[in-house]
Amino acid sequence: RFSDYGPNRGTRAEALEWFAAELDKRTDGDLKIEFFWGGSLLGGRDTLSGVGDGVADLGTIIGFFTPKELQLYNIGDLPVENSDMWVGLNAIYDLSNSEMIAEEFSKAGVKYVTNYTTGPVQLICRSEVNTLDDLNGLKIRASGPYGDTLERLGAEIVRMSQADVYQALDSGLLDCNQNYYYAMQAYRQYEVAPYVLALDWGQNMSFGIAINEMTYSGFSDENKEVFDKLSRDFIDHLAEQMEQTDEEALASMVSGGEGAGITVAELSEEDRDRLNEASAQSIDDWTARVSENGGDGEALLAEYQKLIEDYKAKQ
Amino acid sequence: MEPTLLAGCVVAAVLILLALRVPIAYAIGACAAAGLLLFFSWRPGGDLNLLGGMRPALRLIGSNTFAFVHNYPLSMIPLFIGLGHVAYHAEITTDLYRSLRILLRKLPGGLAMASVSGCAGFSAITGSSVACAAAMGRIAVPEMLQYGYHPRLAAGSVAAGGTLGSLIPPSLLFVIYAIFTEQSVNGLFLAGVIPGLLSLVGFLLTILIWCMLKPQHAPRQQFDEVVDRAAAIRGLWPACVLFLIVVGGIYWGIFTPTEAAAVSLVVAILIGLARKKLNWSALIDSGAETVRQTAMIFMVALAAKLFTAFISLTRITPLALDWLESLDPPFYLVMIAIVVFYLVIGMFLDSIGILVLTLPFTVPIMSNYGVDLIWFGVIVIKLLEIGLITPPIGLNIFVIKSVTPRSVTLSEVFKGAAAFLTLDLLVLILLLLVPALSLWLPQSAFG
Amino acid sequence: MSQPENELAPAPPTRAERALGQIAVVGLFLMAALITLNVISRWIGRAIIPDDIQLVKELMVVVILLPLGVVTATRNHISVDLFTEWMAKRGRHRLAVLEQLVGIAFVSLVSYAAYRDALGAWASQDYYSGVLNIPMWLGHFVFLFGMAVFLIRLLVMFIIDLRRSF
Ligand code: NA
Ligand code: NA
Repeated sequence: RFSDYGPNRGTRAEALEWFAAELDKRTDGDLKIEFFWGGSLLGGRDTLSGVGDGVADLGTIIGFFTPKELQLYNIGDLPVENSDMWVGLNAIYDLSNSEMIAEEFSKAGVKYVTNYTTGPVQLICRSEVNTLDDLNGLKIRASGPYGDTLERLGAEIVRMSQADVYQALDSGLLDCNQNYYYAMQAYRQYEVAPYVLALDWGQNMSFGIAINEMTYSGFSDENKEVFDKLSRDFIDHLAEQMEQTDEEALASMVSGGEGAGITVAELSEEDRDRLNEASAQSIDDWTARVSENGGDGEALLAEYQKLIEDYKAKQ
Repeated sequence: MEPTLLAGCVVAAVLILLALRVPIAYAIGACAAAGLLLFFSWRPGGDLNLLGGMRPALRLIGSNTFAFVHNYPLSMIPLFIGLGHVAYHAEITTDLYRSLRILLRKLPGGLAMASVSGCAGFSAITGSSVACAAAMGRIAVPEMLQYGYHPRLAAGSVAAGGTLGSLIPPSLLFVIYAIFTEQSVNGLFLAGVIPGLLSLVGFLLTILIWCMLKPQHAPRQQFDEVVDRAAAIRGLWPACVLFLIVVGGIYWGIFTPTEAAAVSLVVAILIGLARKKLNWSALIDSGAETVRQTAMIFMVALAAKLFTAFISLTRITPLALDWLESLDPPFYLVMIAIVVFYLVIGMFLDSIGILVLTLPFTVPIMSNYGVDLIWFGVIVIKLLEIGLITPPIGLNIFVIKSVTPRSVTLSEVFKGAAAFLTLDLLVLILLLLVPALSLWLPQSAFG
Repeated sequence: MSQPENELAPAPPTRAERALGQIAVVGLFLMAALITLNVISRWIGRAIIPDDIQLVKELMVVVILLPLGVVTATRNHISVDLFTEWMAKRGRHRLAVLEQLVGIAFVSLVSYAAYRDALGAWASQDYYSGVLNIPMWLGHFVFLFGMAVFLIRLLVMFIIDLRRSF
């Protein structure tokens, strides 16, 4: 049983179906997955504990919901300097299999399986925004450390769910929204906010799949091997699919297939440095919270950045 | 134990307990909880291991119940219930009725028409049909009897008019439907407006025909008071303001539905205080009635959440769908079966109970046929509304009976309401045949 | 809604239960005021209440769980009164015994689950990320408390109905 909070459509859902089909094929029908979409079994917030207690065997977990229980795994949501999906996914995958984070998962009664990503963070706005200075005083919907950083740059942060953003942009409650290309398209936000500032900022990656520890230990050695291999392959598959979706979404929004197209502004070199500087503070906040809890955030961060560099080189 | 067999036993147990007058919340909740426990402890082909099943079952029960209560969008429910109670205590309802009575006095059956229109107006402020029938029944039925209206027309028109409560937004039933089907509350609210008004037209026509056939049932009124049209129109504004906040706010995207609920409640309180109609103790009373009703509704919905989780775990719905697919009946047959089904169970069960018990089964069937779930929502709510005035259990009928003088008998109220059913069924058929009546408004708002 | 003669009398809620109901009323109006303030301040300029959504969620627990004692004492839970309308008072009390038993089964399971969750939330000290970082155990404790009051009231009703059914 696999519990997912989201609907059974979109790239992520397709990738999960691929995972299930491959698992079935590679284990000769030994391991089959039954999906429970749309939080019909467990809501997004409860999936970690639900999988830990065996309500579902597998589930989609979101680090944001458990800032303390999965404090280390929340590293994936930090605005680090990398907007490549393949690099990011591989780095977080290796890091989450490292001893420190694996222990965190184990405490929750689960084992980390593999990862998703939202893709790089962009900004979609009602009015033209070309520089970071333009953000000053704007009402922006943003989440987590990205919101903290934007706040430092002078924006006013509003928290609301993605589904409500369309109307909020339309009526002027919001000036901008932190989002990803494919989601801008899916929620049709380009209709009411035709300007995009391409931040190509870090990604949200504290967002993956976990399996109940007992379920996993019940697998035969052979199946365990297949399962682990597939978890790794999932990263490549997802990165490929997501990059394609993101590109297509951007292209279709720019060309304006349905109405006027959007205008995309790139960030200047100077602004890029400023953004990274502001992000560094949010990253420091996280390491400070980790050390408060007796963990070694610095070391984990260094490891993470090293992995990112390694994969960038391999690309 | 086989999950399908288990599901069958649980559903049977629920029905037996319901028949024995066990409250809906307890019956569904206890059976679903027991079902979950057994599901996790008794794998097919394995032995019963209650201890092993305890952990996942408790986790699921704990997570689902808490998440259901600890919930932002659902705060709409207490806020909208509060709006209805405050509007009643602030006499916004009474003013509405008095104004309509004056404005419609020249029409045949003018008082009955004012009552039905007053119901529609109050529907725009309150989320529940029963509240609507109770409030209007208390004000309008004695008035009509006093002016020599036939008890059947007097009681029947308000019982029928009350059923607009859940169709015209705000509407608790739409909120509950939205939660269990993951549809947009905005969309459902807007979708209900035209069908609600259409039903109103049906009721007005019924009164017209009734008065033409039997003019002696509705004598022309001679008012003692001076007719002041301007004052009558002024009496309408509080209700109009509240309706604009809810429907206009959602249509133009100024608020989310939750915000509309909160703002309109605050505005209703302010109107009541400003016009000195609402004092401290009336405010507390409306609050107390609101939280009690909220607690009651949430216990049912929370139990239903567990029931839904249990049903989805047993995979009984996909199995049923496969079976249905193998039969491959044409869509209209399925739709007729569903309409009849809701009409029949609407005769016996309470609306919220019906919604939460049936949606896990009917919605997957509908989405399998690619039906727009917003339209289906309007149809289901309309069917439930009809159920409120059909015998033997018609909640609106009982409500009207309990707030009117003893001289009006229960069968008199049922007979009166039955007259309104004919045109109401025509409206239902119209809604079934022309989905655009429901879908046009939400589509024009959201593109 | 209808009041036949064989309707069971409500039990008087205790003072504590009434007080809890009143706290829920305060919670309701607070919730409305909080959302409205945020809407208005957002029009003027900045939303002034931090974590408003999270605060409303906590208030929801208060509004829904605290009146349960009163609701149960006054026999206000929705039920289907179709096959049992003809029954005499004693028979009704016997059915009510069954009703309370089923209620106890349901509510004790939910309470036990809530107890585990409250302990878990306390142990992990996790919080809802935001400006205020509201601790998770807060809502869980109110939820557990409300369920416990509900359960105690059900036990009392069980005893009342058991006595009157013979
Ligand atoms: Na309504
Ligand atoms: Na009925």
